[in-house]
Amino acid sequence: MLRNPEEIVADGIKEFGSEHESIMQLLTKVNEELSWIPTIAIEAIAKATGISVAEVYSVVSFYSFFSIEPRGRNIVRLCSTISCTMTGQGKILEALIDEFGIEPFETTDDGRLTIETTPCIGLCDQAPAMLVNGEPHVKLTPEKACDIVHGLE
Amino acid sequence: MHNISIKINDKAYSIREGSTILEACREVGIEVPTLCHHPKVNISGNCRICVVEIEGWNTLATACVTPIIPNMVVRTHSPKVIESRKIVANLLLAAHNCDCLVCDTAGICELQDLAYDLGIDSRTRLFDSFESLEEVDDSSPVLKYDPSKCIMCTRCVKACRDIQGKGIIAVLNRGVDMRVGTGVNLLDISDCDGCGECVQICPTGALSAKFPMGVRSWEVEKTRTSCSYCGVGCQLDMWVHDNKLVKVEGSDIIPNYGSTCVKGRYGHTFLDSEDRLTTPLIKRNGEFVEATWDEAIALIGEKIGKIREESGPDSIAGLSSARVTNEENYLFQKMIRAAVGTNNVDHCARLCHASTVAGLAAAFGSGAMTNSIAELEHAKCILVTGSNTTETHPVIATIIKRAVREHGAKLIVVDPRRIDLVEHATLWLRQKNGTDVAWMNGLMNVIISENLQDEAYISERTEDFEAVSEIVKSFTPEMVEEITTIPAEKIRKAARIFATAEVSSIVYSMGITQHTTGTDNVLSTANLAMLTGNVGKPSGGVNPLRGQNNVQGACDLGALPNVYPGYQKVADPASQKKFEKAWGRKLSKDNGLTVVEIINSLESGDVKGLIIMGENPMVSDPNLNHVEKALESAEFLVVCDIFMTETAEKADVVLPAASFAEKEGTFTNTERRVILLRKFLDAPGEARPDWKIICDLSTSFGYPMSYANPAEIMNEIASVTPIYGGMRHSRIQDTGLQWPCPDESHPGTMYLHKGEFKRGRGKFHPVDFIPPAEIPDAEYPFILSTGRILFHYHTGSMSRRAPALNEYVSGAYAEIHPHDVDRLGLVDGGPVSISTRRGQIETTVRSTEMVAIGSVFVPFHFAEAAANRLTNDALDPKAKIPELKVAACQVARIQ
Amino acid sequence: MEKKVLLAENQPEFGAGFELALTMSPADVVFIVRDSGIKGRGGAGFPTGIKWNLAGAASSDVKYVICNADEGEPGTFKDRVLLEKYSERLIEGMAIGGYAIGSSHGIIYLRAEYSYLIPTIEDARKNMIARGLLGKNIRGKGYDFDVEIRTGSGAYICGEETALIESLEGKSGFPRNKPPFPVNSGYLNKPTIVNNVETFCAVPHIILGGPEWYADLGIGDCSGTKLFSISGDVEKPGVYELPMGAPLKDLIDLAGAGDIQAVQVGGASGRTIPATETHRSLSFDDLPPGGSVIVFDSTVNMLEVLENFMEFFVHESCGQCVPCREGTLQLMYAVDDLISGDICSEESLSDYFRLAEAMRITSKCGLGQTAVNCFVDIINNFVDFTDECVSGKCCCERGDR
Repeated sequence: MLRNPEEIVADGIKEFGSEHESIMQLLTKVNEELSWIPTIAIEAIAKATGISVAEVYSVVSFYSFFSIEPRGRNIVRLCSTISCTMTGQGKILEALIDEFGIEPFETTDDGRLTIETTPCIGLCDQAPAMLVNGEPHVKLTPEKACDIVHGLE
Repeated sequence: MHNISIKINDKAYSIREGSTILEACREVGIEVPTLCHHPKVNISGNCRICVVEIEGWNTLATACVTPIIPNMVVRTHSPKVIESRKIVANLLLAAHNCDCLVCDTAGICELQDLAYDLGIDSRTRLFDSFESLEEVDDSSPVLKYDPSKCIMCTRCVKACRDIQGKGIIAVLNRGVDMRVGTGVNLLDISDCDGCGECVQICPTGALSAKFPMGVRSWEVEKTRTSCSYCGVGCQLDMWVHDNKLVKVEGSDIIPNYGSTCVKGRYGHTFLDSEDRLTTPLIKRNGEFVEATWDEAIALIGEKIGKIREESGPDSIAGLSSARVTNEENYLFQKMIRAAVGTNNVDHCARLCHASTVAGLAAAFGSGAMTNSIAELEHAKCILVTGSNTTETHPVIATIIKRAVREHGAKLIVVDPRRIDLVEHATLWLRQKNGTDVAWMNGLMNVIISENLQDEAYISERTEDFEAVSEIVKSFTPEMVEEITTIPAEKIRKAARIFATAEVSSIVYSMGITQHTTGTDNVLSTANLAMLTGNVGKPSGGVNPLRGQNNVQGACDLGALPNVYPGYQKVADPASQKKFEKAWGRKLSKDNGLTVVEIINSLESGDVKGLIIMGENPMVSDPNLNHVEKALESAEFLVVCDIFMTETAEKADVVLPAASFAEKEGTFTNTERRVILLRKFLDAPGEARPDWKIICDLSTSFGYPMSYANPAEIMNEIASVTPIYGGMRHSRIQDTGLQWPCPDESHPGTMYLHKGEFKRGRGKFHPVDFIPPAEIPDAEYPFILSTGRILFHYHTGSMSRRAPALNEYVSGAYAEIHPHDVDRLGLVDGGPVSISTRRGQIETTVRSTEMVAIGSVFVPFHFAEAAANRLTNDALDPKAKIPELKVAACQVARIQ
Repeated sequence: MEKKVLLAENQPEFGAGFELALTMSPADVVFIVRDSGIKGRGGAGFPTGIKWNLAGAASSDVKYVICNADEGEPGTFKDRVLLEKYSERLIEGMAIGGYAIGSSHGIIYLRAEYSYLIPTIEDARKNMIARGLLGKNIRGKGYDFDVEIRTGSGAYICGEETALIESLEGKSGFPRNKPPFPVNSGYLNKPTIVNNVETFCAVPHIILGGPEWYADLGIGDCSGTKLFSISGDVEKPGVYELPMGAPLKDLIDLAGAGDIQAVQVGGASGRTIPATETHRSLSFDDLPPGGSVIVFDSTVNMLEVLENFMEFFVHESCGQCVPCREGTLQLMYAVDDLISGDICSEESLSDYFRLAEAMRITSKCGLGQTAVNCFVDIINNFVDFTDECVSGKCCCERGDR
């Protein structure tokens, strides 16, 4: 059961404080728990830290990992930088698109999955690679990638 | 800081250490172009247009950011520099919607100027724009944002956050997707109140007024004048084309330094309203018919003359105006006193700051803001009470916020409503309405019991301290908590912060003055300030914010029944003699009637003839049902205004006046600064400036008056008014002058009571707590309070004729706490009836936690649901100010 | 040849360097680091000792030691390997840094992509605490130090130290104007040192081995060893430790590569050279030794590589300064046009070379200044305009011919 965003923020403030410099941690907490950052969370953070809503939005919109759109409860981030593209990333992406019926940065209708592409994730020695809910998966093949994603809850 | 030697463009200079290269260049007259740089906001160093070459550096340096170092060799226009500037400018132009042919900013656009200076034409343009044009965001009633013209200099973001203290817009996204916005892109769904600071600071046409000027920027004539709305006295540049105001900008000069509020910038559209009065009107058989000036003046002369003859001069009264100029107020009271022969002259200051004038005069010897607006920025503690500064004095609120944000001041807000300043406050004390003496005594109790008072100051500069020290003894925080509901601990905290700050300032307004204990409240603020030694020093003091553009001046110039110009007392035979000599007429020795007394006397028949200049008591005065009856019973009523107001409707003769835009003269703003009004439009039809009308009226009363211009009137004012002794129009062309200014060589006075109080020693007045005249009971269980809001002004005769302001708020409402809304079965936005023992209105519910449970707040601007049908006309016995801030009311559903 | 110090099989015990440092004065620790000649291992190459000296001299009761673990340069993964295996060493290096400059607060700014390493780093921290090497009054010397881990959230620019500081302060990662420099006014406007993971990991070794020993590890004027991540068309991609100043060829030989068309050294913002130049050295004076080396064989279309990198820079430019925000976009358009055939001659690229130079000298931070390198290098070294259209499908005069 997903928690109410305001509750997550309130919890985060207990953990990280309500200073301006806590904002990244608060946002990260919400983003990790809900897969995205709803407006009410932004408003709650703004209120607690005394920073304007627009400024909190500004921070959210700057960072690629934050999203103000709802995303799936599983997020696949497929590396799109050169060492991975040279080793077959394109085929993997095609396979994922075919298999799950969504383009990058789209979410399946059942809210299970969002696929994103991302710049270098530092796994070039084991390319192609992806992060699934933050965990690394390397030396992918189209089949392996699809299997991993199928195995998600 | 000493100077260091650097070379710029092969020439040696000695420049102050710590300067940036840009400052150095500007100091020696070398032009370095900039785009994102603006002196009012922090440097961003983003546009990279001001780059210069420094010997020994691999890359170019940004002149606005880089400090000079000894022996630095700088080139501001080397080929490398020019090439880089051209490339960067081309990049901007490639991403810019160069719609200069139809852009309002053409001619004043900094990007356009840069392209011109660098000689970039369409043949030498380097890069193509690949971006399709994005939609313009025009969701705000007053502004629009066109991202295709935005160069992301971020000046607007900083202006909104750092100058205005709002932070409504921010930089969104990253890289090429970067935009300015509120978070969800639209400007209207957030708290944007349309002050337009962002528009004024925008270097291009990205942020602009929502509606085009309809004329190119080089075709306008600009005139600086003073804003006609509130008492801040903002200086405005009026852009006029073909006798039409097309744009307003804040002038970059004291007191507003370019800032304005939404009314100042976008609320002057009433000037060319079609329903301006353009000809004198005489009521015949209940209908107004047009008349010539000669007919109207002759009729008034005849009627007023007859009443005076039959019933004596005291059967005539005049209401002067806080809206018109100093010169006009002077002439008006002179006319009432010398031509009519009575002291029955007053104006709406009675309803706002009469208690200030009475209280501060008693305590200090002078009833005005002791300090100046700009000084607030450097106060270490600011106590704001009974002033919703953000809405009523918006530009002053920005200064208070800057004091907190930029200079670390502590802000204490004492207010029954959760006003905007609460969000910026260190401490918010929410008192029960009408318990101000109690909490101030409580603060003093804590200060004295903790020995935090300024002993030396008290003994050297004040008197009667013991009496106050005695009376506050019983006001322990716990006892105060019982009266005010403010937690005792908060009283202690506030007292400590206020008393221990290096310099503390008290800012207050109508929440303090509009009570039956108004004068007591004011005396308490004076006690508190003297107790902590805060009067007579910079950034301290007691600072009543005056509401209307010229309410200070109207008081200064004697539009009050008990004083001549310059607060010289009617009761003082020497003063009377002085004015008899100056004006060549025998003057009445009796104090005249105050506003509410005049209204009462109309009903009783003691006053029969009334002349009203630019006031609208049919909306502004308490207990309107009573006012209406009184005005209807007047034998002869003259109203002089720019619109057919609710009051003018009742008149026998209505005279069309010129507005502030159409005449010259001076206003005195809330900080005692006499500022100039310059004519920038021709008056419509036959409308005339009030000063000319007064001259004609006075002449018709058998006391001829004639002046060439307002400057000549000011010379006369100076000759009889010591605090204005040095005021001359020729001296106040730029920054104005603050009174007291006794002679022509005097530079004016920034803050009062330095070294010594006006009255010698500051006088403490022991004040006991008295509850408001009317307190909630079983029948009328709610507390009603009234006041102003940002988007409208006074009785709305100007602001409600500004479509943009109406788009923000178009009609009356009542703020009610959600708890009460639910409890009474009301609906947010739905109808509600509010009634008191004096009257009833129907209005709209605004469900908000701004007000406490059990309280109702109703703005008084709206005649159709006039708050003043409800308010109590019970008076403060000393200042005769009515208790507009507390009444007991019923709140009920409308079936 | 490899020279393993940071990655050596047999390493000094974690904490030994810190314990030795605690027996010295903070100033002496700074001098050792300075005399070792170590320069920032993140790629910018600022002398670590000078940075520490300035921060040590700044007067403030609160100072910060920040580890830049925002390893985002495409092709770089050496810090990931260090964090996986040597987090204790990193924390030890930070503690030494804190002792040297007078700071009790360490912060590891970890890129969000490496969040899965948090438990590993947290375990290392706990080990250090258990051994009394973190916390209050360490080893009874009256010195307190602890570290906390904070994460980024997907922004390459936060590898720039002032952007990183802004991010830590809860803001967007816009690089600051300098001066002031972080050593005087960094995190929360307090004196701050920001060093790379590898730099901190090297410091304990320097303390234990002495400055001369460390300096001598390098080749020629270079000091110490350096970790390189190598990937692309090689047999054994991975992280290798070589003497600083070693020829690129040595590294490529270790990883094994036959067919070499191009080598990119230093990541997307580094240099891209042809096979004929692999004799050049990996050092701050020659090929940027930031850590990434990617080998491309002859089957690779280098314009596509360039397109990938320009897209990367457009995506990652923070956008605050004009040359970087708009310039990366224009360069990307130029590459697209080259690929589509809309541009097919060197002359029609001349404006873009002017742009590249302007970006290099006017951009606010390293991102914009170096984003042009791959454009300039790949077009100069790998696009042949002499024969026919590069695209082979354009309709310009030459193409029609």
